[in-house]
Amino acid sequence: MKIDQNTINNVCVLTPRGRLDAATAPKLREHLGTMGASGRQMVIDMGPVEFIDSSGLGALVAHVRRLRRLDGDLKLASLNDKVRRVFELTRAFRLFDIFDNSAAAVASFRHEDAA
Amino acid sequence: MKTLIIVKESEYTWMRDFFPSRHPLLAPVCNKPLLSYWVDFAIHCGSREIRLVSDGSLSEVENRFGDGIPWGVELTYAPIRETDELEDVLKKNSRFSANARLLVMQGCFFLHYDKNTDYTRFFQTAPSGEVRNCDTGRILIRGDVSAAAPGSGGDPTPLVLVPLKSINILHQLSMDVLTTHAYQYVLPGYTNETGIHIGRDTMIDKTVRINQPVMIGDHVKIHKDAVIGPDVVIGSHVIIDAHSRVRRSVIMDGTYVGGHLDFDRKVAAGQTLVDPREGTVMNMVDPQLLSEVKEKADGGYFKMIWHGLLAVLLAAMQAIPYAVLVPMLKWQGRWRCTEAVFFQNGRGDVIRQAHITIDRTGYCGRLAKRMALDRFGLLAQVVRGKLNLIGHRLVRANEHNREILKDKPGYYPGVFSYAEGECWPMADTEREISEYFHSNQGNLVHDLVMVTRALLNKSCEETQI
Repeated sequence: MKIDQNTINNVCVLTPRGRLDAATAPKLREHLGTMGASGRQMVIDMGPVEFIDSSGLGALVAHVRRLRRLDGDLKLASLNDKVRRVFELTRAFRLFDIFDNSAAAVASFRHEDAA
Repeated sequence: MKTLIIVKESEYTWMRDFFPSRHPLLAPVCNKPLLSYWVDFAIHCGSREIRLVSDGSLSEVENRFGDGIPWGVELTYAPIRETDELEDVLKKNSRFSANARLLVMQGCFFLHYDKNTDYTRFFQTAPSGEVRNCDTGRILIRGDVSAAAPGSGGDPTPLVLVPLKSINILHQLSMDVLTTHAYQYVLPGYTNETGIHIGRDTMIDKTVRINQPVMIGDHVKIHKDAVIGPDVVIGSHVIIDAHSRVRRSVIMDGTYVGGHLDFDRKVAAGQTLVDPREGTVMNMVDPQLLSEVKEKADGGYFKMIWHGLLAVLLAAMQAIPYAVLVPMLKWQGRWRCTEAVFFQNGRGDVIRQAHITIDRTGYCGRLAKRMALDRFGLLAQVVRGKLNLIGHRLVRANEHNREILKDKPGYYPGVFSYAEGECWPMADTEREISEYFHSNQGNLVHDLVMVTRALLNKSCEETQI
């Protein structure tokens, strides 16, 4: 799995590519763990994620909890149908703000800061 | 023109109380799901792309409606959160709604419209804002009017929102549509006579008396000397046994109505009988009177046998340690046993079972816990087919948990929970996510792997019960 990283308006945008499963979730966890304060406001663009299993969900859930404890947040964007169904079946969508594109997810942090 | 349908679970809670196993958007009005009316109306308004967003699970709806191809539209789905307001929903769906005229339908209501009326011009030209509302919902328009749009067609009629607030209103709607407004909608079934709609593969005995108006679904069997109607809506896969009489009632899909019964102003769904005027619900115990029509086995028996075999194997492995360690622990006072009642499934059936607590302070206690000897008694319930070997977390039967289970379709607990086979679930929400993920895998080998992982996963041992 390859993870692209970008910063837009002080919001860290991660784009993992490929499968997010038991084999690759540790890599994502490790990547998220090394981000420090720069990644307090984060968007993960799930568009290129082809598959997610419970380990992948676990990595995302653990990180969103960590960020919220630090007054940050993690938002998800561009879920494809396959990945969306997993969020639906597991009801994990209740934990995340999910946008249909990453630009809107980044902009939502700006609105929150302004408020 | 695009349509955004916003559904909040909290607005439909009352429907879940009556029909817990059916998604509220699939609640039928004259054998047609509520959502179908909305989709039809959106199409009449000129929408070709429809997005359904909800803070609850839409899997059941998605399985039924798919991608919208049968309607000639593109139907997509997206999640929102319970706390999201309209503006949040629009931001989260900004790609969908960008640069488009948007018809927004939000709330819990039935829509009275007429398929013969042209709504397109009005919705293309109406100014942005609320078009209609009722106590429980609204329809609004967003976006600029296109320069190419035709001149305004005036406020269209009929277009009335009926607030859906009770089972009585839902029942009355079925009756109204059937008796008075049938011509306004595309309704399921074949009709060559006013007031009678009949579905496919329906068998009606020649001695049956039908008093119109009546709507009968697909694959229905009505046995001899039954009297159906007036004002009756019968869903699909329904059996009405001989000599029964049904008037002013709705019999929902998959219901068996026993012989020699007289139904007047009732709603029947499986073994549930509702009096819409009083709002009372009765769960019939006698399957000869009212019950659910059983569909063909869906692999559930294979799963039951497979789990039973694994439980026997595990019990055989635990038998000797159990015989040696448990008397010692009991003697040391480290094996505590209390009688408890647990939910066996999402329908609210219960099992009585000893709840074991092992004090882990001593070596024997730790060993017994690691070998999961506290679950030994539960294995018998797996062999009896009352529990899975691995499944959702077993919860005690009380009113609080009963309410929680209403929100957990497909709940089927196990001796071990799927979350015990994982390392990451720490809080209840995370356990749920893990349990839903694995219970939807539907793979027997996967269950074996998860049981093995649960047994090996010492760190999760204390999460059960």
